[in-house]
Amino acid sequence: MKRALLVAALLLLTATAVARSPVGDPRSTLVYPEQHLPITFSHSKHLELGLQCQVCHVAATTSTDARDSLVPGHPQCNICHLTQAPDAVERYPKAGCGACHTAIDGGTHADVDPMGQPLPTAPQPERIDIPPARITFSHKLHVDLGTPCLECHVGVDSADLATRQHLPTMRTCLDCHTGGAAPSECTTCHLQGDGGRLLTMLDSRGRLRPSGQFRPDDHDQGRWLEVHRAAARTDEASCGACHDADSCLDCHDGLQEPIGLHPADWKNTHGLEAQRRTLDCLACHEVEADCRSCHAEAGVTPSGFPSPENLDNPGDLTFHPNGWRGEPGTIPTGEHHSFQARRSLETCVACHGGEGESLCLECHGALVSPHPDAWAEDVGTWRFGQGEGTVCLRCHLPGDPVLAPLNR
Amino acid sequence: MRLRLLAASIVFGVLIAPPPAEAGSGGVLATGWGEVDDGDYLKGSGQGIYLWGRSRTVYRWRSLRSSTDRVVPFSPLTQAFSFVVRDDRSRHRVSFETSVRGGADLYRGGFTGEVLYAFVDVAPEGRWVSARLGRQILATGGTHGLTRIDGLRASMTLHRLQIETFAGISLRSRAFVVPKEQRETHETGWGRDWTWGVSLATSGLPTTQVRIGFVDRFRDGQLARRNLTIDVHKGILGVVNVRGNLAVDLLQRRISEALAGVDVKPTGWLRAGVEYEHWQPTFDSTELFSVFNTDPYDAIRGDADLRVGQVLSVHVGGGLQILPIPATKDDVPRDEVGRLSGTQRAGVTVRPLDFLRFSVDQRLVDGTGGRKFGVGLSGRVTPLDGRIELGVRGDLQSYDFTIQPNLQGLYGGLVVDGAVRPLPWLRVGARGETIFSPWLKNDWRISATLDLLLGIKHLGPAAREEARVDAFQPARLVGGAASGRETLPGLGGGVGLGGER
Repeated sequence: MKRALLVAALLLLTATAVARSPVGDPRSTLVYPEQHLPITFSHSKHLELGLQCQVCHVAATTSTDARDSLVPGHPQCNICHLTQAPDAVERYPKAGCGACHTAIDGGTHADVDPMGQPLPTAPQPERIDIPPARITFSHKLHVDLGTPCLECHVGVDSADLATRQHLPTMRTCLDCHTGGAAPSECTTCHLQGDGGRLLTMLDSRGRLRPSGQFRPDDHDQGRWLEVHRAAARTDEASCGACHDADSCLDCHDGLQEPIGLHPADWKNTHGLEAQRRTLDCLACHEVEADCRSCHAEAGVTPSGFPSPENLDNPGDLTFHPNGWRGEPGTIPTGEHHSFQARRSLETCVACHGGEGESLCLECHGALVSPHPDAWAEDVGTWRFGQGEGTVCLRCHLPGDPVLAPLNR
Repeated sequence: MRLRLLAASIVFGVLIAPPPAEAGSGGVLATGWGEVDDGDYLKGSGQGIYLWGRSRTVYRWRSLRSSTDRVVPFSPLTQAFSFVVRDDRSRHRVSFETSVRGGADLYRGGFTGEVLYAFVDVAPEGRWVSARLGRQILATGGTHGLTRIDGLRASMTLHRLQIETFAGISLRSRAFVVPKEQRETHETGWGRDWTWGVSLATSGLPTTQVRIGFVDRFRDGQLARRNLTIDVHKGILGVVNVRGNLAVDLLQRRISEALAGVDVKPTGWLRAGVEYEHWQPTFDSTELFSVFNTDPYDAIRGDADLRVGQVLSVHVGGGLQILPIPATKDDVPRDEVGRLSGTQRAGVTVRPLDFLRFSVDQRLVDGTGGRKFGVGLSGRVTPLDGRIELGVRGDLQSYDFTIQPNLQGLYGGLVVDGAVRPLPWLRVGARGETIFSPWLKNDWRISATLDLLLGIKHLGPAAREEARVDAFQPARLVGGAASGRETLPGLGGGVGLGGER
């Protein structure tokens, strides 16, 4: 019974969520807020009659602000729909209040003044709510350039009511805004804030976030933190439209790690993932500043490791297991460090880098070659780039015959 | 007692009182974190002079019991400042941005100062060329994340092609004030290191980005890295995204990173993706490790997100990492080392109300090297338009690290944080953390944060006329870290889980 209730609750929650979701709509409600349109109107019928857009949308040709209301008012409608006519309700085109306003009781020529404006005593229709788009836009600029209305308001000529679906999508804008005469910078259309960068906090419901339609920037994907590096490399300028350098450094070099970035006990258990490079630790952490200093303070050093066993005898238990070091000349066992080192040399370097290299050289300086099998065949003039050859001299003496190819 | 209650109530009331009206009489007003209204502020967006500053003071306290049973205290106090002044016109742009910070550990003393970045950005008429001079951060600097340089970066756009080049001193450390005793471990690289690079990239194509980059990095006067990177992204019909990234180490003559992925987003609420990665570690050629034998790995990963509006999001994913067959140099197989490891994760985030969010996630890492299974639970509430923030996260993990069996056991942690934003430009936060493990008796951390913001926007004469508002108007600032970055999708055990404000 309990299980059934749980399943029912989950289904209800999902259904509610689906109902609230603008499924498949590429238009963000943060940019184009939801509208409430309790009116009856057909754009297609009016266009079939030969009307031009600007006859009704008079202000569209002069508007320079996306917040200007371009919805025709009674004066525009009254040009044809004579609401002040005595037979307004019956005549064609119909001109009673109910001809346009839905769910309205009554409303005749007696409710309007001689100019057709509603009197205070007129029945109050349900309010039309068309919140302004949160963008920067000048209709005038586009009209002056000769841009046809239907190029942006696609499909409105065959629709009845014009809804959010007939507002231009970003793809529509980017068809022309490719840079140059029609700038393609994000702030050409999107609002600015935060020191000149994009204003993303438009609504208490959430931030404006890129969807990945145009660039590798789908912030909603669950692995975004893991894949954003490649995206930043592909198109760094796009990131800079919203994020300043502090945005990077808050995580990559922050004073405090974000609460949700790693599990709360990450410090104790990160070794496994670091060893397998499930995450790229070095993307945010510096070996010198973070790994070594923290390991040293915590006692996770080559000489000791914290555990119940060694608290009384510090240094008795080393970090690495028995057989880790091995003996030169013997065949390595499964615990031998070579297997782990070959797979995650970076984690070795976290402790043994810098001065710690000397530990490696104890064996690899003379007894055990650390080079790949094909190393000898590969040695050529390009190896001069290998630290100009100086790294070779940590093990090889000048004049060593194996270094001869370097001198060609 | 009553007086105390009264005083506490007054203080609390003041703290959560609505912010004052933002149209200040003087025309200059500090503003801060918060959503935008549809007021006059929006007028003239896209052009104007912006001044923006942020101050962040962080005090942290932590104690840690070391292997020698010594309690090691940490108590750093850090002050950071960020500042931006930007003249953003319709056709050209000039800006200066900087961020500095300094601090000391109250137990150890000393002072460390850092210039995180400080650069001038210039994009003259038409913005077809741009230059950035000073200390800056490059995401395009190579394969190892971000690169910090003191130098110049310039780009030029010719129709659909952008050419970019940079050169400068690459920094080993950010510090500009380094105590004598730390100079060995905090070398700046000044006078010894430098880097340069050039890249070609597409420009102005809405759904196609291609970038080819070349970077040389010198360390101690010697060529240490030479990387070639190719990055591609292509969106198809708004439904499919194809991406590929290749990084070649030209000195080691190896592919250090190759990644190819496909993401499909058939509807607004569903996304699924798969990717393949090939990776092999590379080191500076001046480091001994660059001549060591290393093994590459190949990985296949897949994940999916179901996101239903703002209310519900579900994430599932997993992957397999394949390593070469383990064998000694004498070709003796060591199968016990293993060559496969896998990850799996799942998470659900529910946001029943705009200001309330809960998440539960689960993750598993298994295979060669050990096993880790963890669950996490987090919640966040931001009532009063986000003027109060309260968050909690708890994790529990079963851990089995093959290399050191003594570490096997149950681990856990709890983080609680809170913040109050009594005024749009003021935020006070605090956090407490504790972790436990079979071998660590206790580890506590607390921290306190004070953030101050200042933002001013000044419109030019033309925009002013158009905007019909006063010369000055408040710039709405949306602070990055201080406005909820802690709710970023997590990397729980190598797992990224969906989450948002």
